[in-house]
Amino acid sequence: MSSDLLLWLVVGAALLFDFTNGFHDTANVVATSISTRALPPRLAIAMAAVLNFIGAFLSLKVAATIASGLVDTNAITLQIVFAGLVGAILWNLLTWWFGLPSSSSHALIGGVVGAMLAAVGPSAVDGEGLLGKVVLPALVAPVLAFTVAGIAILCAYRIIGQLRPGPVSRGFRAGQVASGSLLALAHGTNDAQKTMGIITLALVAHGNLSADDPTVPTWVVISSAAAIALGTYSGGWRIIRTMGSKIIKMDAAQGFTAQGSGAAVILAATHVGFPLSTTHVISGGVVGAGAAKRLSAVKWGVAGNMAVAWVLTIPAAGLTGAVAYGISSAAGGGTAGPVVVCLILLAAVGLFARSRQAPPPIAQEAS
Amino acid sequence: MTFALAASSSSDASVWSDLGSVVVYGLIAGIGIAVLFSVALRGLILASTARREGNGGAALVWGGVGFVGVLACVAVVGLGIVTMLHR
Repeated sequence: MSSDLLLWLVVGAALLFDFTNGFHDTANVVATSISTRALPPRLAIAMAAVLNFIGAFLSLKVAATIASGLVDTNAITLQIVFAGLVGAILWNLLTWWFGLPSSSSHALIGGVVGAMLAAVGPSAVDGEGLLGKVVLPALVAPVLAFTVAGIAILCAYRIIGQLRPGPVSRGFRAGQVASGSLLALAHGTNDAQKTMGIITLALVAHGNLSADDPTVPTWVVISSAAAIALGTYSGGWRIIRTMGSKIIKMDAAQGFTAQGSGAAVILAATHVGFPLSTTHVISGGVVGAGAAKRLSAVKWGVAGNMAVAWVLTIPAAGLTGAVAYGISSAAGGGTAGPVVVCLILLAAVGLFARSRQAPPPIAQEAS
Repeated sequence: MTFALAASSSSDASVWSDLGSVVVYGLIAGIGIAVLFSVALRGLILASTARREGNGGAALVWGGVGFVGVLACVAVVGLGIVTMLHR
């Protein structure tokens, strides 16, 4: 019974993470469409939410990587999965608060690996898998998207030449509706699967699924798709502002090439099963489309802050996951540990919300 | 009902081969779609200009270029989705 409660706590945390992934990464999909006025903000977000939902059903290759390619599935427990999710959610909320488009995928992987290291030790982490399927793609993805978007925008400017700007902008804005849709589809395909992979890990740890041949139940696919779509519909305006206007002031052609390049790279990665960060890809595309036109058009300070957040994501989420596991373990482990972690987090959220309320006027306080 | 997960391998050779595929497919698809769309846009805009100027021949040629460009873009997007569905 208590084990069932723990499983539901983990599933709830995974879906909460999926929700934060949706609103945190909404910016990747819609920011360029909104900033070039290709679509009104609400319509752009609604469209992205629907396409994220549909995209989640298209492929399960990334879920396979998360579920079986990074940590020893025979050593994983529900407490480890829960602690990993806590690390990922907290890092997502922190970076969202500061408007930094960091990777939800890396936060999730970092959280789980950190909790695993704290619980079992280095032997339970597949270092080769981590290097080959997470670290290398993380280095390659933004550089590739930067290069693709840079070459693509130069080709586009060359082909368009000296045509009147009005029809050209209208044309690229229309193209952005298509490229943004493709990006949203690719995002759903890539990101919702990570939650599916984590819930699958939890079901394996609970004994509902075989560790040797894990399969993703239909209810997991549907609930993960719904959570990411709901999160996307909620919108993450802080990051949308950063992505849409703080890195570069982009024109419609740059928006189109950034989105098109991002979608192409993400789809190529999904094709071979890499858990690629959509944030890294589309950020690389945006910077590439800006830098190819003029290096000084890019606000390198903002880009630098993003790069620092990217580097910190896996260690910071890992550390938080390890601390969450430590607290859970110190509170007695089992179901009690994660419940205590939940209570601590709820208390922290309550205190934070209280601190954000305006203090009463001094005169009123005195009377 | 359940969805079967494909086995994931992390051998050195497979990782580098997969990364190579991502780089090649990403470059071809990303640059290709921008080039095709720009050609389509140029064709459609020049066709519209030629039509307004009463130049029927040029309008037909540029209209054809634009139409083929749009078809090619749709084909590339469709190919991407179909490839995704078959993995």
